[in-house]
Amino acid sequence: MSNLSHEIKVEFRKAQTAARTKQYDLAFSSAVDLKTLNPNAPDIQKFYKALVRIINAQIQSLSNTQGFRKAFSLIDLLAAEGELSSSTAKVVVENLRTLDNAHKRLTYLKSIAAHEVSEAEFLWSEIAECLPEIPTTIEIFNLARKTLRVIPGNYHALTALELYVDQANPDKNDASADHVISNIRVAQLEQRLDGISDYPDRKKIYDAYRTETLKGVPTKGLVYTKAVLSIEKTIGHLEYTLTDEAPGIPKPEEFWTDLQNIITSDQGTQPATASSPRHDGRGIWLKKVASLFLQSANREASNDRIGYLWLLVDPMFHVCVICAIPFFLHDETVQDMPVLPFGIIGACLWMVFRVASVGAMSGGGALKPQLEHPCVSQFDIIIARALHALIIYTLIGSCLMAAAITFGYGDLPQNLLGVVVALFCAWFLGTSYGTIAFCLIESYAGFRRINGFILRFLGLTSGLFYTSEQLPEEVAHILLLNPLLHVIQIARSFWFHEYSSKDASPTYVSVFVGLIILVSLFALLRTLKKPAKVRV
Amino acid sequence: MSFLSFKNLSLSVRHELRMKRVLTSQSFEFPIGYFALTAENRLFSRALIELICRKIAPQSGHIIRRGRISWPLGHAAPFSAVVTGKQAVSHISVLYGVSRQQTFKFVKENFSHPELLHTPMQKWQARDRSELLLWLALVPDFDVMIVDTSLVFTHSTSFSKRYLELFMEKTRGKTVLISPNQARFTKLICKSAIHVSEGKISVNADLEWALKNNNLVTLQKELAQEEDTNLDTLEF
Repeated sequence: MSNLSHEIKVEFRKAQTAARTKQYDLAFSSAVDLKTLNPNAPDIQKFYKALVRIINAQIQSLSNTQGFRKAFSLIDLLAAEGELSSSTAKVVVENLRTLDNAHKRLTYLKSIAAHEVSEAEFLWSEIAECLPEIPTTIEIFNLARKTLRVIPGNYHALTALELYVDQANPDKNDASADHVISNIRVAQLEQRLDGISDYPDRKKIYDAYRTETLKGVPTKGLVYTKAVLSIEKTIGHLEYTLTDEAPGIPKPEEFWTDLQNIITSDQGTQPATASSPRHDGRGIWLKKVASLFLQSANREASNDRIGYLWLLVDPMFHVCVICAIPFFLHDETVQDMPVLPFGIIGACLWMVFRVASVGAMSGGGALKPQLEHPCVSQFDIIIARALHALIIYTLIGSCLMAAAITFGYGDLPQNLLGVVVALFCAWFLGTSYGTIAFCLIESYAGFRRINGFILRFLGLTSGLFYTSEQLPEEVAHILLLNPLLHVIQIARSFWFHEYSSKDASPTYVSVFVGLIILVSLFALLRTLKKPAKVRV
Repeated sequence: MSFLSFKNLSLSVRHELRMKRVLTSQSFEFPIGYFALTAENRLFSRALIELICRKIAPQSGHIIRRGRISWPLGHAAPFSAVVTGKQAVSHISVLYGVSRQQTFKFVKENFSHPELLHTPMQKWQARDRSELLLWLALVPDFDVMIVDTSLVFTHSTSFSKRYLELFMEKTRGKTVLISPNQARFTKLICKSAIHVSEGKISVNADLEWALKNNNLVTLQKELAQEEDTNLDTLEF
């Protein structure tokens, strides 16, 4: 001390006073200056070292009482001189766990990571823990990658990576996030398994990997389940683990050897053809569509114990409601036709058109997964869905007409075949219109809304509750542009002896049906050529 | 002779509102044998499977199918779970033009739980559903078989062995495309791979390389990005 100049002595006393009054920033900056200027002064060196110890202790104490802001101002001071001790960093990192805000916690952790303890495992495991809770950014992605360098296989870092690839980086949509993570995990495990072929030894590595990866993961809940599944998937990728403990089950390696023998054997141990039939020929198209229809009907009926009953009862209520309206509008007859059969024919044909169009418009709806069968085309499933309308409403119409005839509200049909042809025309119209609508929706999703208006307009103008002969000529002229009005009036003309429509034109219907079928097929072919959506 | 070939075929697909080009004017004959189906990313291999199964259509060019193609084994979607096992058997018989009675007999002989066949499949355990669907795949005579699942099962070694015996017998002299879901099995059964990358499809004799490069594009992109940002000098 005596060797020092007066100015330095004054400066040293000032630093000591600042330390005593707990002005550590001032004391430390003075101590650093003094130490640099007087490297051979033992008192100053001693003071400096004591001050570092005190500040380290102070940091720990501040972090214990959640005074992180003050603690980090001191950490910055010490870290700038490389004096932040590993034990202090560890205590602070542990105390930071009390912070609820993951973002704030990460900011503090990054501040520590910038200093000498930047490669410490305890620090990166804490950082990784914050990552999945913070919105993913490139910085989080890089932090996660860095974590994986320090702690290979860290679950939280992998989760953060997964989130980043999955959410924040839509450009990387060409492979699933799972796969990226799986690749990393598999690569890590493969490295550990290198040269180990004996199964018990491999199993030990898997067990260690499980323990290591699950370290720090909450032991309950979805996160844990997800972690376990992810680990098992990784192990499963590398090794087929036998879970069957039944006696006589070969050991894994023996089992794989057996499989290898089966695969490499030229003759095969047992001919498959002995019990598996081989038939040539393809299924008839109608049978195929019928089978698809059954699949669709089973699916719809499976939601309820009396689902098959609802398949008929629900549409029957619908038809009954539509049939009730003519009762309010007309007396007992409409142009000499009994009002109940009049309503039933109109309602059934309209519903065939409507339901067929909706079924076709959905592009097959519930049957879409069937497209994975190479022998099933989009056309097949559209037809199968639309067939639902034809079958259900033919059944309902037949039941209601039978009831009406039984109770004396109508007579047997004049020409049943003609009625059936009209029914098919309504179905063709509905299916073709629905197919065109499906193609338009594929190009512009908003057409779905426009379609609602079109169907309502068609419903009102298709003669459900009236005939065109009852309308003023100008109005009838416009409404007769609707082919469905022609179809319904033709059907009524074929059923009733009392009525023969003057306005309905079978030629107009035939031409319109032919044209709309061609247009719908052309539109469907065009749509199928467009790039399809593929889900990974 | 090849059962399946592409002629000047171009295929693009949409994925998450983006357009991805999978194949560009490719003419390719699928050889006979067992091949791992690999691609630079999962989207491409999935698109290829859907193209072969006619689920999606190419924008230009033709697919020439000279044989019968299977549905992707392992995909449960084409089988409605609400139907009973018997109805599923019947559906497959109709679709692929095989005898319903013989199909049912074959399934009954081989399926571990024949008593389940009269109950809705949605009540079964997933492993039983998978087993039935795998047995069903052995009934029609497929010339091109697509396998997008593991054929080695954890719940029954006897099933795996028996199935593999019949599978090998049935697919001998046919084209079998296997997604490498189970690396060890793929290495055991395949000698080479059919790899889709950069708009091209080709046979790659180096199976190890193909498996390593399967679905690796994202990872590689990330690694490249990491090099660009130079993590070592990155300041936190």
